[in-house]
Amino acid sequence: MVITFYTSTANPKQANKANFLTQIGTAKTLNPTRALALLTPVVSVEYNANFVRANYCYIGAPFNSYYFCKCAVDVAGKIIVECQADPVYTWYDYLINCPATIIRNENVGINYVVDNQLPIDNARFYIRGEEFQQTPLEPSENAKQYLLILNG
Amino acid sequence: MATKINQTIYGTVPSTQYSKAVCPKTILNLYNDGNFDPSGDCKNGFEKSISPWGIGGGMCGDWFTINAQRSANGRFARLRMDTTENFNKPVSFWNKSIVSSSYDNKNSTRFRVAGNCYKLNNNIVSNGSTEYQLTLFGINGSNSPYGKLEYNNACVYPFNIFITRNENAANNKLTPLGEYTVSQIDNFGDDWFEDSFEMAAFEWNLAMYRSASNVPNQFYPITISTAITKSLKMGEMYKALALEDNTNRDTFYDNAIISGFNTCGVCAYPHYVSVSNDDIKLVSNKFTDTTHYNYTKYGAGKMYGVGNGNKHIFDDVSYHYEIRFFVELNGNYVEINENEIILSSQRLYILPYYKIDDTTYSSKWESIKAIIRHELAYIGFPFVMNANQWGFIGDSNVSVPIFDAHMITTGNYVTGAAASQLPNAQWGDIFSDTMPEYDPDYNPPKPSSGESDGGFLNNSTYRGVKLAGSNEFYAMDVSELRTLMTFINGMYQGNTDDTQLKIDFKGSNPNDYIVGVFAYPFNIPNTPHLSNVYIGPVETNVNANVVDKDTFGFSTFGSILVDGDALGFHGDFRDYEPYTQLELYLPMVGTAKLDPSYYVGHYVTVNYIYDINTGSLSAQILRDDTIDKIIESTISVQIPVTARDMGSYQNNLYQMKMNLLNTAVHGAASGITQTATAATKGTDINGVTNAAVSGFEYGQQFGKTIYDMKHMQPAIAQTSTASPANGMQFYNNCVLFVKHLKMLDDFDPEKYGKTVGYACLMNKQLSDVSGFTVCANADLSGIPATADEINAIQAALQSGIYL
Repeated sequence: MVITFYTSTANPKQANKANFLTQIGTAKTLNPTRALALLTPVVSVEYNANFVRANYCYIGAPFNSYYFCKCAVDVAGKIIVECQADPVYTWYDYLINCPATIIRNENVGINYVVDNQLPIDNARFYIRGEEFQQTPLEPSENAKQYLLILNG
Repeated sequence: MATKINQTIYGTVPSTQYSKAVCPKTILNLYNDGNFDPSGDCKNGFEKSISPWGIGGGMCGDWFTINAQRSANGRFARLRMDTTENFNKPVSFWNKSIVSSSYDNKNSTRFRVAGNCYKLNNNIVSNGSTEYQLTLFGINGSNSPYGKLEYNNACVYPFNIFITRNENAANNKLTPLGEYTVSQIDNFGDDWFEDSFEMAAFEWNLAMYRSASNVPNQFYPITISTAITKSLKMGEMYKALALEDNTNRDTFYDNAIISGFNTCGVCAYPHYVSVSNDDIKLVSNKFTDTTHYNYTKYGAGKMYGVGNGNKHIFDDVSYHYEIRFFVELNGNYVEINENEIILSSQRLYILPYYKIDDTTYSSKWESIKAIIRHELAYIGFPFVMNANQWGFIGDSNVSVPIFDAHMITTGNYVTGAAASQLPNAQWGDIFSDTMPEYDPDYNPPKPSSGESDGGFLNNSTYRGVKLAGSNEFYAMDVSELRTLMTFINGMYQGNTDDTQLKIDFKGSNPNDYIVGVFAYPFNIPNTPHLSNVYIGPVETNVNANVVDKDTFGFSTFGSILVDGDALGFHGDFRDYEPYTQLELYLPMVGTAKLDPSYYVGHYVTVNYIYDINTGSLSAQILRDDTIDKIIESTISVQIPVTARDMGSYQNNLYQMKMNLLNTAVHGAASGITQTATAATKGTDINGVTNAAVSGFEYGQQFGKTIYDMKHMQPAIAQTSTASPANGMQFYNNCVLFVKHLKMLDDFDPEKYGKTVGYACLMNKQLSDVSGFTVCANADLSGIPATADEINAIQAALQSGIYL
C-alpha cells in the first residue's frame, strides 16, 4: 500500500481538510506482520526523517482512507505509523450532501431554542425599563376625581 | 370664471368618546376666484373666498381659514386651518394633519375636524394647544328648511356670503366678496333681505358670543340677542340690527341721521384677510351698557344712512347699503370714511340690514327668531335665547341641536337638561389625524388606540347600553366633597329638636343615602351639568357635576416597540427566555409577565377600559393588533366616609322622650314607674331597661334622663371601610421592564459561536451550513463506508465538526 504523509494544520474536527494539508512525501508500506484494521491500521515504512513529523496520512488501495497518524522510529530503523481513521474527511464528498438535524451552529442560531451551554451568570441581571408615551392616570390639580354615588 | 372645487369635510369622533357619536358630514364648495395661481401661493385668493366663518367668527373663538395650495399638477396639496382662540394668534395645525400625498391625485382634499363647536367636559382650550373645537355644518340638501341648501352649495352658507365691501365709492354699491355670492344667496333663500337679516342676526350673535368675557373653562353658546327695532320707511318696515328694541327710531333716509338706539357690527380689515369675530366692532350711537359689549364697543357720534342720492336708501333694493358713522375711539371721535379705509388697505364691512313687515312686527320677530334657532340647529350650534345668558349644555337656557342617526343636523334642538343626553353633548375634543378613505356612505373608521392599533378587537365598542338604576352620580373635587361631608355631619348636630330630622329622614340615617365615594386616578368624565346634591330629601347647596350613568372610559397608554438597544436587546437568542424576561407594570393593576418570544420585535400596547360607575377596569395588553391579555382590576379606590349616625341618634332621642312620657304618667299615678336608662353619651343607645323604682328614684331617673338627652351625641357611623389605596401611590404610567440575565464577564458571543455554536434546531443538508456544527443525527445512508466508519462519522457530527 502506498501511504502519503501530510502535515495537517487543521482542527481535528475540521471536516474538509484539503486546505490544511501539506504533503511531505509518499512511501510504500512494508509487509505487515499482522492484520491491519481499517480504522486503526499500524503500518511501517522505511526510515525517512521527513516522515517523522507527519500527523496525517492517506493510505491508498485497498484502504483509500485518510488517517490521523503518529510516527515512531523502531530499533530496526523503520518508521512505525499508528493510524486513526478520519472517515469524516474520507467520505466528505458524500457527507456534505447528507441531511442532518443540526442543533448547534456557529453562524445560525435560532432564538427560541434554549441554549443551556451559554455561560450565564445566573446570580446577576440587569433591568431596562421604558415608560409608555402617555398616561391617562394623571389628574389635574383640583381634579374632579371623586365619584359620589347617592341613593336617589 | 370661477372654478368650483369640492371639499368634503368629515366630522370625526374623539378617541375617548368615539363610540358615542359621529359628526355631520358636509360638503364645502370652494371656488377659485379666477386669479388663482397654480404654481404659487393662492392664499389670498382663497382666504377671502372660503373663510367659512366670515364676519362673526366661530364658536369658541375658533375660525378657520383654509389655504388651498396646489401641487405641481394643479391639484390640492395642502389645506391649512387656523384658529384664533385668543384672537390674533393663528395657530396652524392642519399642516401635519391633512397633507397627504395619497390625496394629491384627487380633486378633493378631505380632512377631518374635531367634534362639534363646543368642548364639554371642562374647557375651551387655551391658545396654543393642539386641541381645538370647530363646528362644521350639518346642513345637507333636503334638510334645509328652504329646501334650497343643495348638497353642493350648503357649506359655505351662511358664513361668508354676506360679507360685503364698499367697492364703488361713487354709487356706494356694496358687492359681496367672493365669486359665489350671488349664487349662494340665490340658493339660500327667496329674499335677499330675509337672508341678510338672518345672516346678520346670526353673525351678530356670534360676535356677541365672543364678546363676553373669556372665562376659562366656560362655554358661551350663541346668543340670540338681536332685537328688531324700528320702522325705517314709509309703508314698509326696515329694521336695523340692534341690541335693544327701541320704539323711537327715525325713518332711515339717505344721509339721515339715525336716532334712537342703533348698533351695527363693523369690521375694518384688509379685504383679503378673513375676519374673525374679534374684528367685529359694535358701533352704536348709544352705548350705555358696557357690561356685555365692552370688548367690541365703539361709540358712534352719529349714524346716518348712505343711500343712492336722496332717495330712501331702501328704495332701490338692487343696491346694498350701509350705515356711516363716526367712531369714538379712546374718547376721540374718529371718522372712518371710505378713502381712509382704502388708503390703509382696509375695507369696511357692514352687517346688513333686513326688512320686516311692521304691522306684523311681533309675530314676525318671533317667527324669525324661530327661524334663526332652527338655522342654528341646522348648523349644529348650541345656543341660548337671550343676550345676557350663557350656560352649559344641560342648563335650562341652553339649546343643543339634534342630529339624526347619520349625524346630520335636523334643525331641531333640545333645551335644558335633556340636551346633555344628546350624543353630541358627549362629543369631545380630540383631533384625529386619521385620514380614512372616502366612503360616500359615511362609515367612520375607528380611531387608533396606539401606533400599532389595527382597529380590531382592541377597540371597545359602545353598545348603546345605559346602566339602569336609581343612583345618582356626581364628580367632585376634594373641596366639594369636603364641603358636602361637613354639611352632612353638621346638619343636625347639637339640635335636640328632632322634628325636622324626623320629617326629613323618617328614622333612616342620612348617611345611608351615600352609596359610596370613590377616588379615581384621573378626572372623572362628567357632564357640564351642575346639580345640587341632595342627601335624601335634603338639599345640601353643594353643586357637583353630574356623571353619566353610562360613562365608560377608554384610554391608551400608547405603544412600545419591544426591541432595540435602549431596552438592552441583543438581537440574538439572548433576547428570549430564559435569558430575557419581560414584565409590564400596569398602574392600579400590578404587573404582567409577557412572553419575549411573542413580543420581541413587536409593539406592546396597553389600553384601559373602565366603567366609572363601578370602578371596574379591563386592562388590555396587545401585541400589535392582537389582544394578548386582558386583566381585570379596579381602577377606583373606595374611600371611607365617616359620619355621624343621625338616624340612630334620632331614634334614641325619640325613644327617650317616649320613656320620659311614660315615666311621668306612671310616676304621677302610682309612684312606681318605669324609666329608661339607656342613653349612653357618645355611643349608641343600648336599649331600654325596665325597672321598678320608687318615687324618689323616679325623680332621680327623670332628671338623669333629661340630662342624658341633652348630652347625648350621635354615634359615629362608618358607612364604608377603607379599601387598599396602595395602587394610587404607585407610579401612574405603564412601564415595560426588560430583565436580562448577565453573561459572564469575558463572554464573547463570536468565540462562543465558533467553539460551542449557537443553539438551533434545523433540518438541512450539511452543505447548507458552515462553521462549527453539531448534529443531533444525520442521515448517512448512501455513504459506501463501513459500519464502523459510519458510526465514527455520526459520533463526530454529534460532538461537533467544522464545515
